[in-house]
Amino acid sequence: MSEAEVVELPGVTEESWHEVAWERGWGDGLPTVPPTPERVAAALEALDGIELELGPVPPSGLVPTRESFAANAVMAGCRPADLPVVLAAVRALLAPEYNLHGVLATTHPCAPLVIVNGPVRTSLGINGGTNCFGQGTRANAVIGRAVQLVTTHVGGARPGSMDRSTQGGPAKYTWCFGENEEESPFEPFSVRRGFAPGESTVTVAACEGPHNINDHGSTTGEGLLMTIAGTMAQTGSNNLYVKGPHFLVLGPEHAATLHRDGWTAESLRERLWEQARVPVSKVSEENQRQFEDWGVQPEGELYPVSTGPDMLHILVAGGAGKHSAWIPSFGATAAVTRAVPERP
Amino acid sequence: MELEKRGVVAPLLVTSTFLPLVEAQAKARRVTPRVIVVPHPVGGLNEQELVERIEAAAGALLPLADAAREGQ
Amino acid sequence: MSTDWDVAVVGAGVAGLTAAREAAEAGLRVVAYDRMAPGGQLVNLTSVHDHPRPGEVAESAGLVSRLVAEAEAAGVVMAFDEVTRVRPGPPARLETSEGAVTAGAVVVATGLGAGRLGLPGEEQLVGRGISTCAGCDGPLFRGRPVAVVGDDEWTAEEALELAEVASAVTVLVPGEPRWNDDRARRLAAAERVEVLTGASVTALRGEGLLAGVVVATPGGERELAVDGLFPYVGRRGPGGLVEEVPADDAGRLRADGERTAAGTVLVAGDARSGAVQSVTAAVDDGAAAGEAAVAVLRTAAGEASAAGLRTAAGPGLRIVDPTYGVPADEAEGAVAVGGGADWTEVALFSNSKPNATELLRGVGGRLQEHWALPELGFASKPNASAAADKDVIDWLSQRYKMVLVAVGD
Repeated sequence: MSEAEVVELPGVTEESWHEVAWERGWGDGLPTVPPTPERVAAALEALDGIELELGPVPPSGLVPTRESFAANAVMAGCRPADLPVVLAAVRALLAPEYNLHGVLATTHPCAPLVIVNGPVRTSLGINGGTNCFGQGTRANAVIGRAVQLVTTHVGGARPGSMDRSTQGGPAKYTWCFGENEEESPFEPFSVRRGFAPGESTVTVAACEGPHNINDHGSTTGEGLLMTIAGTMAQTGSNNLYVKGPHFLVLGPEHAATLHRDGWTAESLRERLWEQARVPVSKVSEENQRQFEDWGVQPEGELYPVSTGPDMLHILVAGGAGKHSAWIPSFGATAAVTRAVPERP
Repeated sequence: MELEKRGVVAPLLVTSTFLPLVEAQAKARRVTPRVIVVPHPVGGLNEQELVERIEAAAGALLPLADAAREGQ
Repeated sequence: MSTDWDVAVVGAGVAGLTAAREAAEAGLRVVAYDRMAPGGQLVNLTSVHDHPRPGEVAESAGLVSRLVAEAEAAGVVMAFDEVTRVRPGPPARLETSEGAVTAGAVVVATGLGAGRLGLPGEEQLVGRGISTCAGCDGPLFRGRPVAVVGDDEWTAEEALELAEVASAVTVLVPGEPRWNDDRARRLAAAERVEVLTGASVTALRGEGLLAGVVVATPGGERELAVDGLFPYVGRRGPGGLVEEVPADDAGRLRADGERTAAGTVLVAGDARSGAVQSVTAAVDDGAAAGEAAVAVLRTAAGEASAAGLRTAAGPGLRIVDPTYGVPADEAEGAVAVGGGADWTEVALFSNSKPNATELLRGVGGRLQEHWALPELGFASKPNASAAADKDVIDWLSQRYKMVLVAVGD
C-alpha cells in the first residue's frame, strides 16, 4: 500500500486508539478496531483475485483503494470472510439508481438497508431469524456497520456537514439481516429478483427503520392483509409522494398463514397495491398541494403507496411470533441487488 | 457546480444550514462556488417572510451578478 | 477533528484574547469563555501604565475594545459562560455552565481571583468597604481614607488611582514592595499616599460597614481608621480547574513556557506560575500560548494526543487511513462550454423544495428588473431528492450565460 495511506500515530496504543479515532472524526461513536496494516492485509486475503470495481463515493468523489476499503471493514469489526459481502453492498450503494448522494445529503432518516440471501448467510452466521433486525449477531452488526463507515469515511458524509438528516435513525449505525429462506413459503427474494438459486446476493435500499406490524388476532390471510395494508397506509411516509421502493418483511408465522390461504409473493404485491391506500381526507390541504407540486394526484379519494405493485418488495425474516414489518424508504432510491463476489 | 465547471455563471441560493454542505461539495469538486446565503428555513414561510428572504437575497445577488458581468 | 472547537480559551482578559486571536488567525475554530465581560484585570483599571511602551499610558477600556474587536475580526467566538472543569483528554473536555464542550487544545487564561486577607468577617464586608477594583469603587471613597494591601504592580497602580479621589491612601506592604522604580517614584511623589512596609492587617473593624483595620508593623500594632480597604494579596490562580495539571502555592498552574503537563492544555497570563504581572507580559504570553495551541493542533492529531499520553509505553500505532481515496478522473464526461450565450440569457433552476421556486422567481425578478432582461428561462429538478437530469444541465449550459440555482433548504 502507498505511504499516503498509512498514518503514524506515535505514542498511541490500542487502549488510547478510541480517543484518537474519535478526535480525528473516525468511526460512529462506538469503539472501533484499529485498522493496522497487518489487520488490513489479513482482511484483504478474502478479496484475493477480486477487483473492487468501486467508483467514486459521493460526496467527496474519492475512489476507495483496496486498503482503505478494508480498513473500514476492520474498524467495523469485520472478519476477513465478511469482506465480500461488504464489497457487494458497497457496489450496490454506488449504483446510480440507489442515489447515494441524495441519500447522504437528505434530511430524511434513511439508512443503508442490507439484505443478504444465499449460502453466505449460513457460512458467515448472518441472522435471518429471531431478533434479526436487532442486536446480538456479530455478522449482522459488523457488515451493516462497515457499509456505513465506508460512506462516512471515504465519502466524507459526516453527520452535521454532509449528512443532514433531521433526526437520523438508529439503523444508521448498522442494518443488515438475512432472509429466512428456510422458513419462507416463497422462493428466495434474490431468486425472484433474477439471481440463480444458491447464489449469494446483497440487496440494498435507503430505508427507514422497520415499522412493526403486530397481528395476533387474525387467523386468515384476509385478516392479516387488513392489518398489513393499514400499517402501510401512512400519511407521513416518503413513499406516499416521493414514491420509490418499500419492503414488507413477513415474519414466518404470518407468511405461513398467507401461504396457506393461497397468497403468493406476487399476488400479495397486487393486492396490497390496491388495498394499502391513504384517504385524501387524512392529508392536510397544504400537504395535498405539496403532493401536487410533486406531480402526485390521488386516485379518486385515495392516495396509493408508491407507483405500483412492483415497488413493494416482499421477503420473509424473523423467528417465532405474530409480527411482521413494513420498511418505508427515502423514495428517491432503488432496491439494488448485487452478487457476492467469490474468489476465483 | 456542474454548471460553473462548464463556464456558466451559476450563483447558488443556499440556506444557512446547508452552507457547510455546499462548501464541502465545492471542495470535493474543486470549484469555488458563488454562494448567496439565505437564513434557514425557506419552506413553511408565509408571504411576508418570503418577501424578506427575497429582498435579502436580491441585495446580495445584484452586486455579485454585476461583478460577474463586468468581469467578462 | 470532531471536537466542538479547535481551541477553547478560558478567560477573556489580555492574555486570553491575545491567545484566541492568534489561534483564530491561523484558521482554527476558537471560542473564548469568560464568566463576566471580556477584559479581565483591565476591567478593574482605568488606565494602564507602561503600555504599549514603557513610559506610555493607555486607556483600559479602549485597549479592551481593541483586543475584543481584533479577536472577533479573526473569527473568535465569545461565550459568556463559566468554565467549571477542564479534563485534558484528548480531546479536552470543558464543563461549562451551558454544558460540556470538547476542544483540541485549551488555553487557560483565567488570571487570578480577587484579593483576600483571610480574616474573620471579611466576606461580610465585601462591597461594604472592601473592594478590589479602584476604578469601579474608588469614587465611593471620594474625600475619605482608604488602605491598599499588597506588594505588586497592580497594588501600586490601584493605589495611584485611588490617590486621585481618596483623602489618604495607606499602602500596606506585607514585606518589601515588588513594583518597579517608576511606580515607586510615582507613589513617592503622590501627596496623599503613604507606604508602610512590613505591614500586615490582623483584624477588621466595623459592624456592617468597614470602619478601620488593625495593622501589625515591626513597630507594633496600631489602629488605622479607613472607610475603604483594597486587598491585593491572597489572589489565587485557577489551580484545581484543570485535572492533571499541578499548581503552585498560589493556585497558579505550573508550566514549561506555556505548556502544562497535559499536552492539550496551555496556560497564559497571570494564571501561570511565575508570570510577570503586566499588560505587556500578558500580551506576549497570550501570543505564545496561541502559537503553542496552533502547534498542538497542527501536529498530527495523533501526535498531539501522544503528548497527553506520553506515559503510555510502546512505539505507537500505524494504521491504514480509512478516509483515503483517489480522485476520480475529472475529465470524464466533460462537455464543451456552450456557444453564443450572452448576458441577456439568464435562467432559474429550482430544486423543487417548498418555496424554493417562489424564492428564485422573486430574486430572479429583481435581477430581470436590474438588467432590464426581456425574459428569464426556467428549469427544475423533478424533486429535491434526485440528482439533476444531465440533459437539463446540458441544455442550461448551452443556452444560458447565467443560471441562478436554488440548492439547499
